[in-house]
Amino acid sequence: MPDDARTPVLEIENLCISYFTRAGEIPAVVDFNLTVHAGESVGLVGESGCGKSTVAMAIMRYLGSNGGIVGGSIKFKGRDITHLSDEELRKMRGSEVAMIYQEPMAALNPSLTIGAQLMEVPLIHEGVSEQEAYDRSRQMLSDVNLPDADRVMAAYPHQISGGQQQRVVIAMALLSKPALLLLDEPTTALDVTVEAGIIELIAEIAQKFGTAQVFISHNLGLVRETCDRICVMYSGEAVETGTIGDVFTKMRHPYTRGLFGAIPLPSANKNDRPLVAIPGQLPLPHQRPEGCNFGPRCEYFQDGVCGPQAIAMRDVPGEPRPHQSRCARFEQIDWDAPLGAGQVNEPIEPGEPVLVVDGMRKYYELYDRSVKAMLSGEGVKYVKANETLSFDARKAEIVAIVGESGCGKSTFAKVLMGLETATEGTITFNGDEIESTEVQQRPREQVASLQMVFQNPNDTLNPSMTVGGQISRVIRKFGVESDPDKVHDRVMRLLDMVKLPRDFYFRRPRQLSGGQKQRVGVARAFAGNPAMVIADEPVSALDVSVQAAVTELLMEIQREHGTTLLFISHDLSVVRYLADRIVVMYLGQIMEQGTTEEVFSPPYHPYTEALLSAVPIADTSVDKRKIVLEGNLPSVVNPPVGCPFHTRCPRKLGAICEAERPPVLVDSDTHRIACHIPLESLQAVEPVFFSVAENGSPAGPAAGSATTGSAAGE
Amino acid sequence: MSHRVPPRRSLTTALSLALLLGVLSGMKEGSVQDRTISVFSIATTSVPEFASGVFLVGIFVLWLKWLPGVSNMVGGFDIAQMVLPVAALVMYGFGYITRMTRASMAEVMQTHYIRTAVLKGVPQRQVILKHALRNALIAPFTVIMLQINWLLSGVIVIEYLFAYKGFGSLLLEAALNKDIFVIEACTMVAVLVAVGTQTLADIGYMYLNPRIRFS
Amino acid sequence: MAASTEAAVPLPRRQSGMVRFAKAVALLRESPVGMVGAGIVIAWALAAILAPLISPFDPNSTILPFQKPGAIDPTTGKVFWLGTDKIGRDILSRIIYGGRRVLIYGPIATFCAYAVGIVMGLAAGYFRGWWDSILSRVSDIVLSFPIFVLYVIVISTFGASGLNIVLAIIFASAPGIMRIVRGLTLDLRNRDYVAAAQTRGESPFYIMFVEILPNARGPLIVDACLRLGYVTITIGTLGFLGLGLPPPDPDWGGMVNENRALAPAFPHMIVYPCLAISSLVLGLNLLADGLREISIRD
Repeated sequence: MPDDARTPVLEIENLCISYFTRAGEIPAVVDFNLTVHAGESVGLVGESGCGKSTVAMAIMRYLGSNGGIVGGSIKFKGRDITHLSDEELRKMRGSEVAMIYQEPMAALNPSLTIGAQLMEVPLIHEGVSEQEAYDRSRQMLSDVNLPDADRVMAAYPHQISGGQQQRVVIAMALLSKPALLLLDEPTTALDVTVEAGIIELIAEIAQKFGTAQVFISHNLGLVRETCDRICVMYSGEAVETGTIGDVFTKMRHPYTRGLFGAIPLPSANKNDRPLVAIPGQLPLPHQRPEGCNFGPRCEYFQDGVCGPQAIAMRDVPGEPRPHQSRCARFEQIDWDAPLGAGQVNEPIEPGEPVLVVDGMRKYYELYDRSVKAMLSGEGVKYVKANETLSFDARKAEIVAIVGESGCGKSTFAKVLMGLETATEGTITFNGDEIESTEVQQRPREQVASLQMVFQNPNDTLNPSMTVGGQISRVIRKFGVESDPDKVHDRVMRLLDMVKLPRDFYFRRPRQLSGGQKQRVGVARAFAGNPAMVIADEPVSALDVSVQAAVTELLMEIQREHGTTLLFISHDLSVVRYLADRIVVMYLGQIMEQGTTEEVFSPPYHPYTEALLSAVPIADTSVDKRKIVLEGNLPSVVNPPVGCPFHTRCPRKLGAICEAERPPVLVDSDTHRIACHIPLESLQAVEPVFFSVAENGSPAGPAAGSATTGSAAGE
Repeated sequence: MSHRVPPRRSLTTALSLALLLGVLSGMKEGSVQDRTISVFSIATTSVPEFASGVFLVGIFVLWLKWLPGVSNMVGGFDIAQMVLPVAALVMYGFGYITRMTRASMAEVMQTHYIRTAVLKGVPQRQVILKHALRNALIAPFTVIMLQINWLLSGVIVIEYLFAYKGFGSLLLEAALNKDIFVIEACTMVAVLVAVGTQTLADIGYMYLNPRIRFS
Repeated sequence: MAASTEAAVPLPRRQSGMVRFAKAVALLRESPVGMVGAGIVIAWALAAILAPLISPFDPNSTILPFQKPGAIDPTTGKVFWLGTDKIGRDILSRIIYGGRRVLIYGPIATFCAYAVGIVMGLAAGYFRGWWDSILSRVSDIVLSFPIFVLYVIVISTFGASGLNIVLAIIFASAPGIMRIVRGLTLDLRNRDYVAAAQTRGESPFYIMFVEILPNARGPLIVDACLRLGYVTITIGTLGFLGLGLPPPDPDWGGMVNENRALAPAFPHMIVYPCLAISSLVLGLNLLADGLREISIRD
């Protein structure tokens, strides 16, 4: 036994993987090393094209017909698996090495029941009887905290929610007690509060089953919560490895530091300590520079030292636990110097209200034309997408609307933009009531004055038109300019404003990267000098280093033009960074609204509390209380009567929460909470975030205490 | 008018064969077996029915002299007289179904859930039979239902070519002679068949696709 | 923000037609299957265009009946490469000229069917609601109807003329096209750039024809090749049934029909027209497959 415990479960040495296309050999992963022991969890972090998913596929030996391992070795439990036969591979997959995927809905077969898919694992690998396979599968479903396991066994994948699907995928992976678990961005497709539950489950697994884990993610916060060690990858290479504590606080590679500078840590602040984007762009796989891959983007690059020869990984001396970096100059760099130009911005004073929403309701009608409905008289059901929304946004202010799927934020955006009309209530924009005017009936200046930046950079531009053509169209449509030369001029100035080269005018969207496309989207939104811009998750689909650049760009433009920004997001870290005021929505209703400081500190609405607790934080000096919500988001078609949150609320009072709509508690001029719990009790609640001292012991208020179930206040 | 329906048994065997070929070729996209089957199926969908009738007659009647070239059933029902017309009739549909199935199968093999099955250690045979097939056959199924209508219309050509007195020639004669009543009657029959198969297709599709069944 | 001091960049010109055409051709070269298909189609197109130059005889003049392929015309000394038919017309010439008919009516009918189908499909997919219900129902009915029964009924009622055939083809093909366009529209209308256009207040026509349609052209081009093949088959079959254009102008299907009684003795009279049709449709199918391969790779 002791010998086995010391043999690493996974040992990758000098791994090189390439793809073979008609254009030649493209190296995807170069000189990669990784060791994982039983019970250990290693995070593999990087951006697109860094090769992290390729490594996972290589471990599974599933590289496709045009990919191959061209060098190095992968040892699983001491055995080299790079040369296994097909049959040996098949035995290994799913039983000793299992994988959990990014999109659970796509990973499950839509035509087979969950039970059938689960039972396959023990049936195939251990040859047990069907009854035993059924029992074990059912037991595993309970182990992953899925209620009503029998129903789930008989259900089809589309009949259960995304979070439940992912639990099923996890159950499927664990059924034969694998020694190694590969997790490829397992929570990217899930809502924040659901994600928290899955993360907790994953952390439990390592302890309960002793599995070794490789956790692939682009989110440093998640890695911090689930992993013991981390390996940072850039453009096909590992650039820094070490324990979480070492790499997060004593990083020794400029890229790692750049990553941390680009994410909105709690210490970042849009005025005093803005995000610093990593300059330059990720190199394409066939255009990697000689020497250090990160060289062209690194401010410490020194010719001769950092190139043209290849740089190897070196140990960082003086550390008790192994810590390696691929930087040739890490001894010479001053790691405490501040990043970026130390830019400080003046905070802006907000002006008069630009947008006033008062009691806005948007109900959709669902017609049930079945005979049963006709007989019972319930032919029409209402989807209460937005229920009595009231808030306002002032000039030059950034108001964030926060919520998960089904909270109604997209519906609200549609009503604002005129794609839908409100059922009741008013929305006043710059003095005009717009809740019942569709966009085509609105005057041109008003349309130009209220524009939107969309979420998906790949879909935000028409693929068949040139960049310049699209922006020109917008300018002419809004009547900003009509003279072709003036239009052209304005397009150029807009391209300057979003820091894109002028010759992008002629390019088509497919020739642009994600970040560049999003910049064009920003330019398009600002083409008509809008007074207010709605940004719907504008950076969630971008790489981390690009997110910072686009976020800062948006900030800059907003500052300069005094535009009001309505920022819709589910990412509370970004929201904390840039919002002045926050509106928290759940199932169509506003649960809490206030300034950023007010929302992030007590008193909290219970939902806000859970939401804050679910945010992954990459700052090791900050810890948080764990609050995990049970259950799923209820359906919007039949929202619960009374408080919409009562089905999952850990602080539920009792019957009153189910029967009556909660009153609006007023904490301050700007801070309102909709809850039945008396304000004093909410004010006495512990903060969710607190700082920890260097050695790991909490320095702030009480030690972290998990709060689940129905504790009624503290 | 009742003597018109081509033998059903040969239809089902032709159908299954077409599906099988489609699956085989879609399984390993780009492989030799895929390419050969694809060539064959593209060839059969390029030939109009009367032409395939002509070619078949040319080969089997004139050259090999195996089968009779005319199917007027003078001496009562004769299987040998049915072979060529049926073959000509179904050839086009055969190729079409094979191609559709191939496309559907190839698409299914690229999905994430097949990847999950493979990475679970499911043996290849089971991946195809249990995981892929169910999803791959949904699309061709609806096509097959439509093929029945195609057959009904192809029958016109084939009967004309082989001098078979059935629905097709009845309609054709009526059309050429402007016999309104017969035309109307034929139309009604055609509509009935169309509606019937459409309903069958809807039912069958609901059955095959769990997503529709339970939503 | 630094003000740019660059000199004004000249207004862009669209790339010249030649350049874009050359790029498209280069793209095609990536698929051998597509190349073969394109080759066949171009060969027939050229044959049709250059018919007067390359066909040895006049297609309608009756010279010497029942000649086998390879026989020589005693008066002119030219070869009947594919023989003559029962009235004495040179089959090769008739095939070449017959190609004209197919290659004129086919594309015209297909193009018109597309125009109708695209409008219907865009309307059904974009507006949904009533538009979609009605258009989909109608097209379902037409589609589920046995096609040739439809053709026979229509043409026998209204007579066989070029216009009627084209109209019949449009009527029968448009629903299928509508289905495809509707599917594409339903998918594309959820894209953010369509939402961006809507929030600009663009009219539905602009959105349908400028934002949605150009981005649907991939699958539509592939379908167009396939459909041209179906239409070719249809024209041939109608000719075979005697419902095509009236004689004496050569019509591939008609040629098969006229001479089939003599087939056992003189198979060449009907085999070559069948080969002609099949090869053209084969070319179109291969081209479609090639285009599909390329568009997937894109």
